[in-house]
Order: sequence, then structure tokens, then C-alpha cells
Amino acid sequence: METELEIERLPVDLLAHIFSFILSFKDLAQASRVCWKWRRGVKESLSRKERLSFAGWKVDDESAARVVRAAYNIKELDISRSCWGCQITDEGLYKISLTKCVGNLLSISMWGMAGITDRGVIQLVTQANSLQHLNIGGTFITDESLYAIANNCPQIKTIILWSCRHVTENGLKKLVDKCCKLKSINVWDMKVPVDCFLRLLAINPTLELKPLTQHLGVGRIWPAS
Amino acid sequence: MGKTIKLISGDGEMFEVEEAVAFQSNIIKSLADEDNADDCIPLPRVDSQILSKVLEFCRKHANSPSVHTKFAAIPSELCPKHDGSAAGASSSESSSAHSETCRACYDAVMKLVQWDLEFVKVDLDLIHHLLKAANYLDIEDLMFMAVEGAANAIRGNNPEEIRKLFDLENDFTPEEEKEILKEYSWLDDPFEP
Repeated sequence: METELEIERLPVDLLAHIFSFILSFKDLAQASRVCWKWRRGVKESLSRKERLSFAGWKVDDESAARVVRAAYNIKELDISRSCWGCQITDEGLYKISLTKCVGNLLSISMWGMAGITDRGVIQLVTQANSLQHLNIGGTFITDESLYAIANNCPQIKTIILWSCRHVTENGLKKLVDKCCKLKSINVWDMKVPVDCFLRLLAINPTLELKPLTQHLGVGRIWPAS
Repeated sequence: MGKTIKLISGDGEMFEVEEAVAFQSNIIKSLADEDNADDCIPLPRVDSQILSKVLEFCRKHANSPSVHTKFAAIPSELCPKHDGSAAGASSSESSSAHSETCRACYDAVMKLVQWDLEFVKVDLDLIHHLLKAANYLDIEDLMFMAVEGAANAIRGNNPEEIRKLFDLENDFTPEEEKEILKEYSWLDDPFEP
């Protein structure tokens, strides 16, 4: 009778399918605590995910890296600012840079992450060679990060740099020079002179600088430093 | 009654159903396609109680669009309002365009979805069996709803509650359990979405 019940249990594959319907991390976590088979099911389910987002969760470096390790097929990663304030540091970015999925990531969002610097960002983007979309707005990165992106992310199409006040024209120029697939940059609230944008457009006339109107004399203009 | 198919459940009961009903199952469809002199299809892994529930679902879905897996792409031939009078093109593009603009189709789809949701509001034991049957018989829509039913039973519950609902044993040792609880401890903090 016991063996009959065993055979009747849902196979791991089917469990993973059910878990992929469960959208919240919390529910997945609870499911992984039920028994060994369900734990395997959750692991399998994570490996099938295409997108991972920690937005809104108070997650530390090691926990984030652990989940990214399990979700080795993801193409999109969102580790942006949580309502608790940034919990992930350069150490977390470094650990994530070592995972299987990094080379295949098409999109990364790190906006508002006050705890990261060039050090972590450079380590991450150096491995993210397929990257097409990057949101690194509201961080303290400098031109150094942009150089790393220019050198390692040839596929980059869009980049959001709003409020990256430590980035100068040098970083932007290197990026636009080297990344021929670059289509748009969000430059809102950046501390670069308006004519810098004109020089960028001279390099790549099809480049979209968002939000355009603000930088053509309408709205806020930052004085040249 | 159109052409019928005879199905034999695991416990020997015979069900005779219309092809359109039985062919919701891709497995039954392919078995029937084979040159079968007997025209009686045995389904040893499904007992009569479950098979009858499965057929109830299939009967409801037989002449309806696949609402869950194809996102209500309704071929205009099935539209209750237009009665097949719309151009017979059954390409998926014209289908989804049709259902987007046709109120009658939209309403029909919604009604079916409601019926499905009620259908899976059953005890977990039955969902368990439906899941296995849908998996074994390869019935897309039933699979979708049974999975949704199972997922619903998991959402918002803690491990002990889940174990009770699914009749599962905690096979972790106390040491293992301690480690496992740590793994997602960052999710145990309350937060505001």
C-alpha cells in the first residue's frame, strides 16, 4: 500500500511546473521547506525561470547569489533598490559575476543601489558580455564603470544613467564611441554640460538621449563643472 | 451523436464519448489515429471516478476555444454571435483579432473560465488525481486549471499547512530543517510591497 502511494506522488517535473505558477518568492520558499522532493521541485522551478527580480525584498549578498546560482537560465536580473534601502553590496555583485547565467544576461537593473560602487559593477559587467539593457541610474558609479561597459558589453542597446552625478563626458564619450549598437541613453539629472550631448550626437546621430527636451534648453540644465 | 470513441478505465468501466470530447486528450487522439481494429481505448492508469470527472471537463471544453493556453484565440467559426458567417480564415492572427473585438466571444470565454475555476475548487485529493490524469492524457486546458488549483493551495500557506493539505511527510532531520529554514530567512521579514 505504501509503495502504491509513493508511485502516486507527483513527479518532480510536475511539481516544478506547478511552482512556476507561483509568482511570489515567499510561497516558493515555503514550498522548498515542505520536504526533500518539493525542495528539488523548487530548485528545478528556479532553473526554468527566465527572469529574476529581488525588487522589494531585503536580501543580502549571499542569499541573492544563492538564488541567482539556482536560476541559471535567466536572461533578466533585477536587483534594484528595495524599500528597505540597498542591501546588496559590491561583494554581492562579485558573487553574482561568478554565476553561470551572467554571460547570457540580456538585461540587468541595479537602479537606486546606494551600496554599490565601481568595484562591484566592473566585476559584474566584465562577465556580462551579452548585455543589451542596463539600468544603473541613481548609483554612485563613475566613468570607470562606463569604460568597463564599453570594453565588455558590445551588444549594449539601452543604458539608463539618470542621476549618475559622478559620470562625466569622458565616460559617455567612450561608451558612445565604442558601443556601435547603442540606441538610447537616459541622461536625466546628470552633471554634464548641454553641449556634451551635442558632441555625443555628432558621434552617433541616431542616438536617443532621454528625456530629450530637458537638455535642449527646456527645463533643468546643469552648469558645466 | 457524431463519431464516438470507447474508453476503458483502469477499473474496467466503459465510457463512450464523442470524438470531439475525447480528442481533447492528445494521447487519446494519437491512439485513435493508429489503426485500431478494436476501437476501444484502454486507460489503465485512470480509474472511473477520475475519468468521469475528466470527461466532464472535456465535454465542457469540446466545442470551445482553448481559453487558457492560447489566450482566447477564438476561430470565428466558433463565435456564438457570428455563426461562422465571418470569413473562414482560421489563421491565429485573424482569430485573436476577432476575439479582441467580439463581445460575444469575450463573454463566452469569461463564462468558461468561471466554470473552470469552480471545477477546480475541490479537495486537493481530487486535484492531485486530475493533475496526474491531465499529465498522463495530455489535456492542456485541464492541466492548466489543475495546476492553478494546486498552486492556489500552496499560496499563502506555511510548510506545515501545505503538508496537511497535500498529505506529505516532513522528511528533514532537525539539523537539516534548521539549515533549510536559514536559506530563505530573508523572506521571513515582513515588508510592505
